[in-house]
Amino acid sequence: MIDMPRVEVPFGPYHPALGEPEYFRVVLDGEEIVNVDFDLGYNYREIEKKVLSFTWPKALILLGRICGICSSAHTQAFGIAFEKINQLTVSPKAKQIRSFGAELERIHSHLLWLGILGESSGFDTLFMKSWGAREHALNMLENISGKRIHYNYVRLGGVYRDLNKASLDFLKAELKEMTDKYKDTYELFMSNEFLEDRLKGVGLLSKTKAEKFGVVGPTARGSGLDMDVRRDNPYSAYEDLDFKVPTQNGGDSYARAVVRLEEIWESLHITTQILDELPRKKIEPAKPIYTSKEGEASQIVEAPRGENFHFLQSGIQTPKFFRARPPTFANMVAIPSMLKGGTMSDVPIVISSIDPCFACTDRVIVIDRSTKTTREVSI
Amino acid sequence: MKKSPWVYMLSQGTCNGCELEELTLFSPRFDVERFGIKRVASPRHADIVLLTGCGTKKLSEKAQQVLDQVPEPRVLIEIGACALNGGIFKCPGPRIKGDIKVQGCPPRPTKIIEAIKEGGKLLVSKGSERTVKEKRDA
Ligand code: SF4
Repeated sequence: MIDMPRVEVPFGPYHPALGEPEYFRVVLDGEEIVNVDFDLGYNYREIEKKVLSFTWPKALILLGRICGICSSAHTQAFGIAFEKINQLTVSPKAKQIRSFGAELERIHSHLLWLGILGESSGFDTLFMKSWGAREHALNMLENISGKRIHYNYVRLGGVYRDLNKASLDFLKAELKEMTDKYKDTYELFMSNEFLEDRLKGVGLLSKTKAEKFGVVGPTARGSGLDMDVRRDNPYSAYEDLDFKVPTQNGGDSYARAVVRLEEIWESLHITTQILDELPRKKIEPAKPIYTSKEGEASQIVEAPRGENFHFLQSGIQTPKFFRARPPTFANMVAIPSMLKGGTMSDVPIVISSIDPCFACTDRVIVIDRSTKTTREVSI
Repeated sequence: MKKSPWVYMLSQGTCNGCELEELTLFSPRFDVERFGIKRVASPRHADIVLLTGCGTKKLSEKAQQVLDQVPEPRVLIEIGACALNGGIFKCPGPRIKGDIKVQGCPPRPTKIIEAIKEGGKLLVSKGSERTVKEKRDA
């Protein structure tokens, strides 16, 4: 047998399979992956530092721009932390509108991910179908906030605007249409044997390992860990809403996919509930707040990819200290373990199976840019 | 539009918003493939480059390396506030300059389609200029 030397394959920072620039170094022994290392920080935009010089309403706008996919999760976590410090009460209707937006965000994020998964495994029909359904979620978000992306409908102490009758009718019609389209997409995914074969057993993460790495969100739920902030530590209107937390025991890419697909059904169920139960009484849009008490608070919300944690220490006019830990940061550490033992062709699928969002992650990580050292991740 | 431009998406450090709106163009609602606009995975196949992002420290150099691989004639389109002037993040840059600019944070997909169409026309004129020049040099 020929003795093959180990080959190091760079993957990124620009790679067609990665939506965002990020760098992975994959060490191969023949076909098999023996080691993986990654380097984050390409999207690092110094948000944590910059937010300290922003006034409160502007800070909320900046934090929404941490990520274009889950801007509602970030604004909501920050808003609730601010409200805790200032003991502001939020009206039940505003809370419900917040939850409504958050669920739409989950739907659009999961459908987006499903499309990308389809594309990276060579199944373009899935991309077309799921992105077609996703447009309805964006239409609804545009209706409640005025924008398709960066829907800053969460304001300190409330929401951007009330939902009137016309908008409720529109939302109900769109929701119905989206449910129909999603049903098609769901069946397309579930009935496809090739996709099942491609995803099953790829990127395995056992329950013990998932616990050890501290993964969150659908990645954890795909490995059989039953956890969800919305149920375990309710915020906004989740206490009064009825929903299940889907889990799977497979621990592979397929299990993670199924968890997300089931979650979309739950989110559709939640949004329908909110639209049916929304109180008639009108609420005033929240006014901008320019001063705050001094204090500190933290808040965790369930973003589409898992727990999103914000810690805020407030000054009078601006934040004094701010820190966030988005879900991908927790999930990334599991990637080398999932990839080891697989083949090079699995890399795009496994990476996309945790639904990484590097725009979120790179805001947190402190990279040694001056020395340009890459950190090894021990497995 | 006379030609069928192939576009490549180049990020210089974004929040994802602009890239999402670019990707939406290839989904059923906007479907730019009906105009012959196609997304390519390699910069070497590209005619039009969609530039997004504010130019982060770690990426701006790499983005320039990728851009160097895009063959002439090419049209660069700056998309979003970040690519135009650093946007809300005010990154240090440097950012790549484009021929066409699209405002918004993120811009609406229809605006991006218009810019690509305009880019297609610009591409044709750039191409013919080049042929004239080559003929003259020969
Ligand atoms: S312009 Fe806006 S949407 Fe686009 S990358 Fe910058 S912050 Fe994100």
